[in-house]
Amino acid sequence: MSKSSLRWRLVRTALVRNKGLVSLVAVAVMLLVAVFAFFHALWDRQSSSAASIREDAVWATYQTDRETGKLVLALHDLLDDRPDGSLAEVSRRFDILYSRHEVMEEADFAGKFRADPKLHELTEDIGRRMHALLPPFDRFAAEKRAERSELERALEQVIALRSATEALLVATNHVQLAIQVDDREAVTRIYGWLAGTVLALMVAVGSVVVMIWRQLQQNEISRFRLQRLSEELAQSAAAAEAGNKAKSAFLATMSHEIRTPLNGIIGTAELMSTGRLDAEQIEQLSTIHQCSDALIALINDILDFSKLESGTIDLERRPVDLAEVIDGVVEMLSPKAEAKGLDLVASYPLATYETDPTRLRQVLINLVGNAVKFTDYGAVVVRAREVVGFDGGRRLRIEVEDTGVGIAASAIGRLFTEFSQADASIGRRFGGTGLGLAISKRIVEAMQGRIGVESSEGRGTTFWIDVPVGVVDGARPVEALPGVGLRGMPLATSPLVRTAIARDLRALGVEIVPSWRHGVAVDLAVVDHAGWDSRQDGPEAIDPVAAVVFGFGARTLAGRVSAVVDGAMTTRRLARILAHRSAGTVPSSVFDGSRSRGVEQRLAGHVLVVEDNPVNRKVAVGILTRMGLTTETVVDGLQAVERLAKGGVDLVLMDMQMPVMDGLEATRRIRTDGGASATVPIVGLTANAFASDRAACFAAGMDDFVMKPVTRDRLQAALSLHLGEGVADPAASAEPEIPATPAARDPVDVVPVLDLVHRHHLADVIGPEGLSELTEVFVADTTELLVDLGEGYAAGDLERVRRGLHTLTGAAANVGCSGVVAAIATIREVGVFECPDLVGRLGAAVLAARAALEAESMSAIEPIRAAG
Amino acid sequence: MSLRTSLFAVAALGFGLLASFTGVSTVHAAGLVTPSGEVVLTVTGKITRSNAGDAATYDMAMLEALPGRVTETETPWTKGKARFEGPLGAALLDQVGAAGSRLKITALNDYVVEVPVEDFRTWPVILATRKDGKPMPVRDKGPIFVIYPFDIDRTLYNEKIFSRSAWQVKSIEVQ
Repeated sequence: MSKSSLRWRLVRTALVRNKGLVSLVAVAVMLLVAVFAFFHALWDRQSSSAASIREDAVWATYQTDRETGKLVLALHDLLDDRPDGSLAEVSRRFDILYSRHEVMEEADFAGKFRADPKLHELTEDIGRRMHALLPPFDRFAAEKRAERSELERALEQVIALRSATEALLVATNHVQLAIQVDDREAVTRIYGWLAGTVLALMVAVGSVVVMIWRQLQQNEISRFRLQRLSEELAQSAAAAEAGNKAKSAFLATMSHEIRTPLNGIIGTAELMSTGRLDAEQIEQLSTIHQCSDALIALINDILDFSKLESGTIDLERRPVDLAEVIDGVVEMLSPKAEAKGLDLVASYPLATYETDPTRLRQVLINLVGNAVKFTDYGAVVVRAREVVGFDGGRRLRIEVEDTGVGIAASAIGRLFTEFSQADASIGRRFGGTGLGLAISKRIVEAMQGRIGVESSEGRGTTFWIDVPVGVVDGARPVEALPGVGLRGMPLATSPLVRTAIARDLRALGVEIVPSWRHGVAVDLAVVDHAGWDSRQDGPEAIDPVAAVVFGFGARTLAGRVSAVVDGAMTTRRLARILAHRSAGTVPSSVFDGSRSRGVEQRLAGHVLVVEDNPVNRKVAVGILTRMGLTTETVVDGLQAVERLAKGGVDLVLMDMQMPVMDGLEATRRIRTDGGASATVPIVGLTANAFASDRAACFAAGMDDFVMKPVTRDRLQAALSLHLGEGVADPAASAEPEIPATPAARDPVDVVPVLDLVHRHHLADVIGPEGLSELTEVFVADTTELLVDLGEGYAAGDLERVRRGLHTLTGAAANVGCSGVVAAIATIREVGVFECPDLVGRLGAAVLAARAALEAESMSAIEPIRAAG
Repeated sequence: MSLRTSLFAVAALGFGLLASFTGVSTVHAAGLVTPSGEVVLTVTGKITRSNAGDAATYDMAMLEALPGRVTETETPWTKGKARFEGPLGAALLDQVGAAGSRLKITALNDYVVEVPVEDFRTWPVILATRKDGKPMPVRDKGPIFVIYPFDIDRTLYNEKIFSRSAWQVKSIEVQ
């Protein structure tokens, strides 16, 4: 139906466009019809004359006349007694004449002959005369004799008849000629019309042919133009592609070029930080570090995006312990979450899947990083679960939920597009390239997965990804459920966190006892740090023997409760605690992995550093020396090959890009040369974390690689594996770091002065009286603290200021003075001494908090009976 | 046309056979019987049988003894339909053993017309001796009238055939 209507529309358009041609064709068709009509007329005429085939009137008249003449002659012959004369001959002649006359009377002549009055008259006359002749001639024939006088009279009559037949002959001939002329004229006329019409038809058809010819020419020309255009387009597309490739190459080169000096800066800062410095210098160094890290992250983002844009994304697929990936991400973002006072919890199946860990990690870092970035108070929860896709394939769904600012529905559509942040003001507040989600989307799509978001403004956001994964046979639940036989109670303050922990406990085999049944004895009460603090003074105090406290700062409770997780609570950490509990051992408290990084390890061995950049060389040597290693340096691959031939090297640190001979080539040489050095561990130094680069490292024969910038942690993680001096859980510390972004501006303005939710919960837990008491203590303490901070600031005593801030933020967080907490977070991020109005700001925040608290006490706060 | 032609050929052959059967009693060993009545038709020229020197002469009885046909048709020379009957031209030619390709037909008024023998072989052309059951006097275009089978083939109804349709026929010369 639509197809035919489309065809109609096309036809109509064509008709309108070729109006001239169409009307010409119409004229030609009309002319053709006319030609047919004329032909028909001719044919009709022809067939009608065929139908009216008649005796020739002239011929019949002529014959009659002639027979009359012959009768005259026969009569003369008889009268003159000529030998030929006989009465029988006369009779026969008369008979013939009579037969002719009969024909004249009866024959089927053309109508005109019969209609002509003169002819009619003459014929009548002849008929009369003929009939008059009948009696004598009948008698002659019957009697076979005739009187002479009778014959003479007959002769006279016949002669008279003859003059009549002559007259008839002449008249008939005239009529015949007239008929012929008329006929000819009529036919000539028709032929004339026909000729005219045919001529017009020829003109019309000729014009049509000319127009069609022109149109064909036009078509040919436009086809040619179109072809040329498409060639040009193809050329420009090729040029654009070439340009794009050039751009990508440029970006890659530039980012490498930028990273090289940056690595130098970072390394040098790292080196300096181990020296003897005063507090201010340490702070400055940390700023340098943070800024450099941010810059590296930015460059990585751009490079990543350009790589993704040019479609060169390498995906690998190998068995991955999901806990490794998620814990790594959580660990990486813990410092930021801690700084903002957020709970960070990860809940996932303890299983191994086949997927690309690098890419998955990259996406999760982005999503969790965003969640932390855009959440000012509350929690960020990472939830993973295995689902079965509609095609029956195994998929991994990971959700990152936060209690942050949320995203307006109108902004969600733009989220995953390049260079856009949901809200320009958010962009200003939190910084960032705006590429993160676009990159994540591309990666997830390259993994044949989906990414999405559910959010409502002010009520938090849930980002989710859904990627197909392979199931690793035999790698499923390694250990039996560690929590079987235990009864546990999730008691986290935030419902979101509580739900996640309850889910984990249940998944690990623990029997869940709802939090409202606080009288029931449990083996395990999982509570966040703030929750523990507020409960212990109230009636719902938790038995320390059962208490598992998590959250930032929980470390301080180590030894006072059954277990602590200082930092984010994750399924694996929970599982470990449960395993210890089942086994009856007391776990050493689980600490956030990032904390253990600072622990310096001593290694032994001789390391050859192959690096062309002198700064990087110096950095590497400095770090290695501090780790207790002896070092030696060369500047390119060829020198490395030559040096290794001599032996005595325990490990090689090999840069990738170098003049003369690059790291890959050098590695291949070393591996194929044989000899003592053929098996020496080689650790590559690469600026790129892509699978292809790593694959290239391993293909060349390297044992490991370390991503630039080279830091102590990274080197230590890699080297400790190959230099044999084992370190616990080395894989966990191999995670790349995500740098903090120091661009945060002023969240104070948007953070509410009081965290009412928290305060309601507090009131719920310790009672309104307890809360107001706590608040009073806080208010009284702040005065003292502010004075102390002001003095410390004036004196330039960083340690004192830090300590003061730490105390203040702890106290403020306790009573839900989120405005004060946010203000301190900002000051900390910007740097204490980069904040000239430090005391003023703090004072303002504290004053605002006090005013709000007073206002609140007027409308006596009522505890909310939590449903759960 | 070819079908029709062959049909006529078969018909002619049939008539020919019939003629040879019926002719057994009348045909002399030397040729034809001699007419006993008034001679109305004389056939001359390339013929193999004769009864008056080189000529074959016929009286009405002889003609009417030949296989014939009734042709009921309109003609340009008569009013309305007329019923003509008489011997088939082809039967006559067979009887005289005609071997020519043309027939020169002469009428009483010395009107001469040439007719291809083929006409007689192709169509059942008759030498009509009776019109509406009665012999035709000279006054009524008798005694012999060449009648083409307009009733069978309407395309014969044209001036060319009209000119071959001689009446008052008195002799035929086979050429």
